[in-house]
Amino acid sequence: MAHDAPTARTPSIVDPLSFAVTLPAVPESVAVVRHLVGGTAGHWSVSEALLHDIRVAVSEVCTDVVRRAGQAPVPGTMEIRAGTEEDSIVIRVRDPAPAAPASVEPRDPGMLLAAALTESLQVDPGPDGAPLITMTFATADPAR
Amino acid sequence: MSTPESIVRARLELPAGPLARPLAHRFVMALGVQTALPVDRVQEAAMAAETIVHLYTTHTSARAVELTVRAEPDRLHLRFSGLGPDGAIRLLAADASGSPPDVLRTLSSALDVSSGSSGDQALVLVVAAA
Repeated sequence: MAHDAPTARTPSIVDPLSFAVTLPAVPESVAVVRHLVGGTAGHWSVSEALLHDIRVAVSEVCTDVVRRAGQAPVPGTMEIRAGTEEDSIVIRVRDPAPAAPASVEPRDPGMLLAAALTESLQVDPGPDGAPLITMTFATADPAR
Repeated sequence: MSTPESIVRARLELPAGPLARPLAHRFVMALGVQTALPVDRVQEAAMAAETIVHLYTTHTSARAVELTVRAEPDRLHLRFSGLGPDGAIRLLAADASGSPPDVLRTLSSALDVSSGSSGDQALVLVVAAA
């Protein structure tokens, strides 16, 4: 069984505090994403507590994506783009599911937890129509 | 994913900057532990990735590079693309004259340079069980 990411292309990320990763939408990939987010420690201006929240929220959203992808004949790939924007950390997860964004159920326990840990969590149609989940974390929040 | 016939392909886009080395290391480690390679070889693959990232930021004009990892049961293929014209050649020359020299050849089982139609070069490194 092969899990494929799309073929190589010209890198589109130039912000030095950002990254993009494309992975098979399978359970093992969730740990890869969580591990990558942990690598931003000391580079993103966030507290240890907020970085922990970011890792949990990203894990929950990716797990939800993987669960939906597992219902398809071929799981497909998910794409995660993460970086800093003004006073926020913004992480976007592109769902490989060909279904409409409405198929993302915001009342799923994982999505509820992720929403509770973010300043905002939005589900919109991405450029290709697939669901695009955007998580925003305020870095200037004094409570964190 | 851990079954003998499994193959995983994943891609990381890395900007030239402070995140590049830690993320390249973590990416290769996280995918490498899904193979049957000994952990010291996975660690060496991650070190090679870090070395390449360091060299590309200091010896090429690339502002960002793309690392594609193919994880097979007994080996890791690391492909660094977007190095620019002659970027991979310059990178290997810098490695050969570095201190210590030839780190990439020492750590890898195979090294190859490929060029696209635009002249943009990629460096392909394979790490297999010793």
